[in-house]
Amino acid sequence: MSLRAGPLSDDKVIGLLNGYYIPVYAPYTSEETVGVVSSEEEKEIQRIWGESLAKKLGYGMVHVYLLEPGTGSVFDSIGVVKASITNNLLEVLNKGIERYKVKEGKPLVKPTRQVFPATVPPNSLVLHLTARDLGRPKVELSVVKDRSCNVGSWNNFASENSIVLEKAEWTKLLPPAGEKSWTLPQDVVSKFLVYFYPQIEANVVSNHRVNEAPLKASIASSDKDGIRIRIDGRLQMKRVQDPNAIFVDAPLVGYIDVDPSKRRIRSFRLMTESGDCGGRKFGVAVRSVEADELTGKAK
Amino acid sequence: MMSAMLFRTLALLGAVAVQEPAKTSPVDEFARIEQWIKDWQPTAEDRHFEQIGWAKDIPEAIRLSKQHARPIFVFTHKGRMNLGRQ
Repeated sequence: MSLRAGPLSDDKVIGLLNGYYIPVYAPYTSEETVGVVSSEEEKEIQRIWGESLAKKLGYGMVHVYLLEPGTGSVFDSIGVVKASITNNLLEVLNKGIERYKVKEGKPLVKPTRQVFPATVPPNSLVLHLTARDLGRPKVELSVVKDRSCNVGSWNNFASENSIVLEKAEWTKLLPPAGEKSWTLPQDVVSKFLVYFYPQIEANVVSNHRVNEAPLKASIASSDKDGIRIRIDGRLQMKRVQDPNAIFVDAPLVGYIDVDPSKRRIRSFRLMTESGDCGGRKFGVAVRSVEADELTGKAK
Repeated sequence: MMSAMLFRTLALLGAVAVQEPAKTSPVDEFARIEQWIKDWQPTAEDRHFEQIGWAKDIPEAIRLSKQHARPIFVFTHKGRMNLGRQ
């Protein structure tokens, strides 16, 4: 059980974190977090790692650290393997509360959705993607599978991504004048199709390469109130480190609803029910997100 | 021999008939897509960790800690825990 699916989803742990601590998760700089970790944040992570090591409090890159009130100095730590057992984490948290005689209070930060960016450019179309496992393949020694699709146990919960299409991008999804069917532009569809893969350890999407023209569009219905565009196709994604192997093969189907008077996308839907990643089956759902959901409280 | 071949052919045709997807109208197909995507959304259990009031980053956590005299819980990790992509 991972830390997120285990203790960080446990009501007692959540109660202690919200009532007595200031909780923060901190991804460190790697290929997977390019553009995500600020230099100030990375400096703090390095400071915490170094301080914990110097104080002989334990150290690890994937690790829990407790910092003193006010000063931010490390006073305790616990490795992720131990911390993933709820009682171990509860014990460490309770020791910290006792040590500093912390009084219970309300959460200092309002719980919110963690998948969406804090801000998006005006007139953007925000897409939400959910990827979920459908089962691992049976071991067939005679068939060579893409091993990275089957390493790890990151399937305790669904993976999510948010994809922001700015106006200059989403307008390219609208029907070209006079056309009944067309191919959706590669640069735009690649922005969301690179995330069509199950929960795995290797998450460097800049290495993902989408096949040519994976999505076709055609007018399904049209009147003065709305245009419905059917979209379908097939994703055959490769990765730069293994350019001859198909990493993901997935049939795609969905639709786009357009407001013809405002030339805006009302809703976007795309899915694969039977994606294949090295023999492992997975599904992905993509939907457009309304503005109030971007800022809404976690439900 | 002949009857065995006939039986196998009929069985195969039967299997094809069973596997062929039911014919649906385009409207039904769009409704099915909508429903499938709705059903595929993260569950409350998937999102339980979002009940925690996470600070934006460590500098913000330290600023709040100074104001409210609370200790800080920091989880440093690889990848993107919040996205389930780690």
